[in-house]
Amino acid sequence: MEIVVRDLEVVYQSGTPWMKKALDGVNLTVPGGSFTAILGVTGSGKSTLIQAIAGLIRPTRGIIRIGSHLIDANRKQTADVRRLIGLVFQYPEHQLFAETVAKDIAFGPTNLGLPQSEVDGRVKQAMEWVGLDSELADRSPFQLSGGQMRRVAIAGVLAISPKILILDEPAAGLDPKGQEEILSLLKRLNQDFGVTVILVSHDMDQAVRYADRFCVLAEGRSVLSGTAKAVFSRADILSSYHLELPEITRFVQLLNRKLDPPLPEDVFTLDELERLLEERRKKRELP
Amino acid sequence: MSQIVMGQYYPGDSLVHRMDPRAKWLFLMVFMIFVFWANHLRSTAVLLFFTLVAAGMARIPVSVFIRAIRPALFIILFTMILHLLMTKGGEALLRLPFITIYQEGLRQAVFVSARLFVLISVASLLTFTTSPIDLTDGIEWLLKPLQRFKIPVHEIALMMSIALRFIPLLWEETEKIRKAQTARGADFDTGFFIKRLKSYIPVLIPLFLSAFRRAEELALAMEARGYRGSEGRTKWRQLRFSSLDGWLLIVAVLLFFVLRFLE
Repeated sequence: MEIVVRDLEVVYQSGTPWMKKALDGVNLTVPGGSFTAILGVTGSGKSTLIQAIAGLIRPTRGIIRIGSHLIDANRKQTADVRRLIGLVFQYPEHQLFAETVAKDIAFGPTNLGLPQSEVDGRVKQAMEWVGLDSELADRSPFQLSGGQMRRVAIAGVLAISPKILILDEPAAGLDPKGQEEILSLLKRLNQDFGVTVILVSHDMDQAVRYADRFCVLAEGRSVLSGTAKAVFSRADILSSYHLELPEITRFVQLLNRKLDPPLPEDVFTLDELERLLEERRKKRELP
Repeated sequence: MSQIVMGQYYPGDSLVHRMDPRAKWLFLMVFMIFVFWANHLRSTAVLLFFTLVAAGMARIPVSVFIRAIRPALFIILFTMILHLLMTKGGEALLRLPFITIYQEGLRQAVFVSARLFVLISVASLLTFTTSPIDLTDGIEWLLKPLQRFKIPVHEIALMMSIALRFIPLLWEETEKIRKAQTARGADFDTGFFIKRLKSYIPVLIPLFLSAFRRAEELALAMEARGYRGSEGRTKWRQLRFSSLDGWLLIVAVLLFFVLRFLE
């Protein structure tokens, strides 16, 4: 399901001394089935943008089109949009509330009005996806470790079976192994089930490893978007908004100082880089 | 923050904003005594007039002011209706089946609601025009004499400032959790009283947990830094009385004589 954002503006606390323009003309297209990363420093408007897409904040101006649904400044009810979109907030484990893991995950599907048998099935499926042992179902979520609580919270959103999954820094505060697991889960959902994934992150390396489309936000505006090549070839723009290039791109640039002809800079995985270097070596060995 | 709540600070640079917080606290206390002293409509009208002038001088937009005291307005309206219907005495002004409105009832309704409105408005005027830090510094200075009786004045003031600081934080947190549960299909806006109350459980439990978590983190952080604020603490921000505060004193004395004349 495609998402199109046009000239989106969001103003908080309009008409008071606390007035703040969080988004100031954002344009963005998220193709259906893509894995899109929204990048930007703190305060660039990332969180506001995803909440507006999820129908939780009303735009002040501009439109958001999700499939055939339209959100604009006049629209009050967004329940139909919210059904399509699963939104995982930052530190989602802080929103757990039920007595047992299973009941917490069942909250979303129960609110959708599904029959009990269907709800149970979805809870089981969601727990499997996030890699939670089925015997944890009857434990209190508050007895679990931080990483496990994060999985319960994400499972709670997956149980709604969203067509679009939006996550705000889902790996923040986890150890490297936990981060890897959460992000590969997202990749799997994206590739095997065709879920459109939007990942909000300030970690370029993480984004470039998993996402296939990128959008850079700065000061409430979308300043760059497109494929990895289109975005990360503009180091000048990125650095003017205090964003760094991915580590691998910086590494290729370092190598290029000694290499002639230079390597292409649109290499974003280690495997690809290895293949290129290997090719070069073979070429040189030829007479 | 998406809403203006009661007790919020509204930054500005008006005459009222620039007064010393201690003077404002003292004036508020004296003014409250005046409000309960005033037993006639005419003297309450004077106090009401004064309140409106003060609110105008503080340059708080009317819409902001009304939004902040809206919860209290319902209570005022409620007491007004009760007095109108229940108080008997004097001539009957209106006779309907089941309902009779007496002169005394009308007088009481106007008088009590005006009094409540004045009390609430003046108190909100203090919080509107005084930053939380100034509020607590002011109260700490005023309570200082109690230190002789081994009352931990600084700790009380600290508790107050922490509580004030936490109101917007918890408000923000509530909004965030509400949104997260809305995204999972929670519905807070339909159904009758009990159903609505129940729908807030998924918000309240995480909110309490986060309040405790924050409190514990703050306590630990203060402990780790060896916080001991009451002993020999000096302040970078010094409170100073100015001529403005003298004017406040003159206003208080004037009000006193006006009230004495009217009562």
